[in-house]
Amino acid sequence: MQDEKFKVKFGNSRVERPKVLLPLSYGSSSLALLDMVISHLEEQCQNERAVQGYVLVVLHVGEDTARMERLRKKYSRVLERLEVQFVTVDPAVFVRDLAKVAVTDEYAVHRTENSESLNLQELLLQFDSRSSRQDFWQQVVQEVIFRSAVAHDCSVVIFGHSMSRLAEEILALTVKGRGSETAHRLTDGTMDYVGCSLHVIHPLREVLASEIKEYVRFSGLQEMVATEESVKHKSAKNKTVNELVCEYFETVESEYPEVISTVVKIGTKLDSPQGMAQQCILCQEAVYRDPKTWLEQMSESANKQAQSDVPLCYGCLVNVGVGGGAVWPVSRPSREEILAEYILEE
Amino acid sequence: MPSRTPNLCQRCEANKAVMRRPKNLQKLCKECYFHVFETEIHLTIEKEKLFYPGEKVAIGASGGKDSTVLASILKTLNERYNYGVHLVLLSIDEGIVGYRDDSLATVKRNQQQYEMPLEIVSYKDLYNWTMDEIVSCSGVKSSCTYCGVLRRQALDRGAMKLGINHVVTGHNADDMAETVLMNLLRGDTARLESSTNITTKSTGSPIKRSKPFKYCYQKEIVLYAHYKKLDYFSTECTYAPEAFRGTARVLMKNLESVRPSCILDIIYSGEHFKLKQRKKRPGPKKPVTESQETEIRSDGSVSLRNNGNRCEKCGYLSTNKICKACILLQGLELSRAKLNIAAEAVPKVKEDELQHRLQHLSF
Repeated sequence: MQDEKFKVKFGNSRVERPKVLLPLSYGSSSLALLDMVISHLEEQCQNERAVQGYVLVVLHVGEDTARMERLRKKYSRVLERLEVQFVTVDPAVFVRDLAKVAVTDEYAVHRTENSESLNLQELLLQFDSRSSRQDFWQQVVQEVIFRSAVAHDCSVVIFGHSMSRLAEEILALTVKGRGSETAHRLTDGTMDYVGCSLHVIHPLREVLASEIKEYVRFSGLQEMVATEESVKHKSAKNKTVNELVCEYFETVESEYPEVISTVVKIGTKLDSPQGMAQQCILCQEAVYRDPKTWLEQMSESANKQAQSDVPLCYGCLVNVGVGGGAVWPVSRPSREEILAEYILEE
Repeated sequence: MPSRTPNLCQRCEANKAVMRRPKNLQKLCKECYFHVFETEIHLTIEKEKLFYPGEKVAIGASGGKDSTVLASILKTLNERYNYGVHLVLLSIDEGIVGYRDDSLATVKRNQQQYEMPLEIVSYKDLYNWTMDEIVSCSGVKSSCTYCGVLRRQALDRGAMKLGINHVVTGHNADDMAETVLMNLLRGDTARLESSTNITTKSTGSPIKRSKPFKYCYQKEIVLYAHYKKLDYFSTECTYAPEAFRGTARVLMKNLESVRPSCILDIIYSGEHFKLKQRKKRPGPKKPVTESQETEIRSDGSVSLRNNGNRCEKCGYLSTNKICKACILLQGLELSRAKLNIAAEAVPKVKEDELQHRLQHLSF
């Protein structure tokens, strides 16, 4: 049983306590999850002889250190008795080992060395569409979270995704041509990351976003929520795929309330495709079928002689664009490199 | 030095470009567009080995843009690349006044234009119900459920009657992508893995169905029909699609405006969907031989193990004792009005309304 390992400990079992990473975006769901986890730990420590069952590491990928301080102050009374670490990581650590990846008109992918030194902001601005930028930004955050988990020796990562958010992700991944990643990215379970085993859980997968909103209101967490830029007034053309899908669920929720849970349920039934996979040079996700051969079968101007020298997944190929190119980190650091190089502010 | 004319076809660089291709925004002239579009369909047919020489193929023809373009292109390609297939038009008359009667007139003209034999199979002959009667009996809401089930069987039966084992339909990439999304939204695990297959076959049926337009954008089909000046019928069905499918369609349109490739992206995703293997529970204590097991489904139908079973009622191929169409029709029969209102006395609309009220009368 997985839940056993989080149970309250007595006596000498202190060593076996797992370290749990909670990525915090300052959105409603991750704040609600933090609130619940802290109250769980508080309960565990009520017995004099008891030791909290797991160590919590709260991580924010971004620059908002002030908010982190406010949050610590809010829970200061409880935190005195608990072992909780608060960490803010600058996403700029993602930028390393840059190379230029270009897609020719014949869908062949070439890698060339890069001489430019770009910062993260500039890297993202290479992509014209907001949707592609957001897709890559999501990858950056996810990578930094997992690298931080390795750096902090965490064996468990708990995400605050609500049921609504998971449904949005499942549909958005499908629309972005990343359907094969659904199982790997959104299902609970153990995954291998640079040789470390990470257990990923989405504890709020049964809770609707609207319910979380109420929870946040009742527990006085509203002032901590980072307000996102509203997209309501934007025209459909300026929205991202995720924003459109999210909006879709909001509109159908009232008339077809079962849709969100249905999508999440079918999402958990999905498996990764079988067969040998290569690793995408940009997003490091598995490529099961070469997008070049797939696109060629329906294109009159295809040139089968043109060969790719690096693998690129379909989702990234569309983001970069046929005939386009982008500078991007092309490798993932090893476990040793993460441990040695990662500069973490505490 | 004179500057290059900006509006020259990017492929032949000789003629004036008349359009931007929706798929990749390439500027093309009319002739090049025809060539590119036709060749791409040919590539799909070749790669999937859809036809063999001497095969008889029925084109599911509704008179709409997709099936009209399909008939025209298959005729062209068959002659150009010597597929050696015999093409036949197969139409289904659902019995929808003001819609199907008009579109069938188009199919009849197509028959002349393309010089192909035409076979029309009607719901009335097969099931003794027209769609108009079904709707007046069960309401507009479930019309697509009935029509879908009945049409699938009608196409099969029509093909069988003609001695044909292969039906091609005009389903395009937009339809495919919509189906992938709908399967996710409805949680339809039974269809999720196979919905993007180019060729499908009902269990036990000798007739296969395929979709040569699987990778064609709807917009490109419309453009082809427009520039070729094809004669097609473009009115939506009187009984508009179910409301929920409508919401998915709106979502697709919005998505297309921010990510024009999303239709192909969804199909690519759909082709990668794979369901987890179900964990096998420990079996029953008593060893049961397979022949003794009978599965009774949630709708009360009884599944039969062997392929090639026949429905007890209509004698058509079915995996159950009674086929889906018969189950639906049985339900309808129960609520069918015992009396008909004389058509001359009341106008059609009023008649339906009265029929509906009659069903709920009790004494």
